[in-house]
Amino acid sequence: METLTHQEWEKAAPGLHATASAGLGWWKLRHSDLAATAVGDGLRDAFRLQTLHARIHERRLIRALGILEAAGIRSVLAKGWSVARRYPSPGLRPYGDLDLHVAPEDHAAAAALLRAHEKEGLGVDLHRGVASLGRPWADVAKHSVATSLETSRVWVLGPEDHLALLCVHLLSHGAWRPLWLCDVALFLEELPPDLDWTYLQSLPPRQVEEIRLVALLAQRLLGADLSRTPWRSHQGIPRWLAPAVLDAWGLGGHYSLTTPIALSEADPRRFLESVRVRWPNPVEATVRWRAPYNSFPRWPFQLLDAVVRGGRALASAPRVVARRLRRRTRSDEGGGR
Amino acid sequence: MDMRDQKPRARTEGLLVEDVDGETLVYDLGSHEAHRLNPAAALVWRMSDGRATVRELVSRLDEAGLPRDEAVVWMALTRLDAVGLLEPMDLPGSRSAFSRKEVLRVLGAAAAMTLLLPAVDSVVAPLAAQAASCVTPAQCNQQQPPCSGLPLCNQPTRRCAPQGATKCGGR
Repeated sequence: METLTHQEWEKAAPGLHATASAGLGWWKLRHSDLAATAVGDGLRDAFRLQTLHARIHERRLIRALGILEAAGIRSVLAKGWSVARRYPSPGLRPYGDLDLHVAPEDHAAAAALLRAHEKEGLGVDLHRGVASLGRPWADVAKHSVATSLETSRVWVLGPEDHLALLCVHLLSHGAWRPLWLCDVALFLEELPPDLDWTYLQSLPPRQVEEIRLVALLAQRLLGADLSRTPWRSHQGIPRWLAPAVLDAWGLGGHYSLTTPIALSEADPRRFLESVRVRWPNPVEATVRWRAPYNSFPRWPFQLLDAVVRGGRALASAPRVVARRLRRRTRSDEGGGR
Repeated sequence: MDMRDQKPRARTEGLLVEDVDGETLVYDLGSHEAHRLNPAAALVWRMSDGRATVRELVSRLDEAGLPRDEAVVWMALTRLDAVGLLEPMDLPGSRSAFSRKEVLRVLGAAAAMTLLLPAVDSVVAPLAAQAASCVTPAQCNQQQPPCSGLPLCNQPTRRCAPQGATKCGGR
């Protein structure tokens, strides 16, 4: 990125904003002549806001942990603040919800407690154990690590489970946000010397393979240093993976952030755009259909995914549209009074 | 009472303040608006403790390398007041009366001084909350249309979408 011209920055900026990477963009050009341009101003404003939001999230985290701790419930934080704190400035790694994991037997009580505080907008995404990792909660809890935020103690996932979760999460969402790969790259370069590789590799073989692939992807696309890992670049990755991730980054968004397709029917252009952005990402299709990570083309899985998801969308469309019409009718009646 | 004997008081409730790279960022937790104060505006805002008079604020302007002229203080107070960072007080004129151009004219100062004059700007950028892969129902309810469109946490089939003209909710 050091060699990007002003025009290239102008072209890249919307994508950086859309993928919540604008803070990183600002960090890159803040000491250059481009800092004082319109592109720089926009990126810097995003950085400023993200810095403020980071402080707000920290307050929310302290409050949520306090509520659970007062009830004797130990929660373990994943992603969000526990990743953002590794960046050199809080404005570089925005996040939204607080992913708190609790023991399955504590989940109902924790959920009830947080519901009682719903009006505070704590934004907790409460998880029963760590379902996306093939591990018993007891192991995850045992390997979790205590850290501190102001005067609060925060339990975060152990580095082995955290790295695994970041990699699995990245792939399951089609790797569309560059920040997720930055998170992994940071993790890889800060791995503690006493990392328990045996524990890490005791995950189901497919997940171990996914971690390895994402690590190699971080090296390929971001130049992450893998010297603290057992993985080396010559091991290679499927040839479709890196281009698929770059394509996803180029889209500058994800269909999960757009209008539900059934609600875009009134505007043909929006409908076509909705269809376009919903064409299955090769990475997501591979994860969803548990396809092997080999070098065979991905289109059969993408096609399968498109057919199945398209079918579901079609099946639910009448219900969604009917609900919308009912709401519109109620709204018109209300307006006529 | 002479307006210069007023004791400006900065609003402190419901604000989050962060100093970053030589500027002061202020987030209004009620309106969800963010502002940035340059060093001169931040100095006046921090000195506005409800005890110091405007005259006294003027006497301390040199801490920010500014000329001791009350136009500078009024300029800062006018801007802080406009974004709701001051408790209500009487101000001597409209914001335009304390434009940079006008204040520079009063001071007889060079244009280069304009960078030092008090400035309060709004910070506008895409929400960092967009980094979330989901929002909780409470977060969604706090939003205003057009709403984020993000899936609700633990209810991936429902999204944060408009409910009527003024509210957001799960749909």
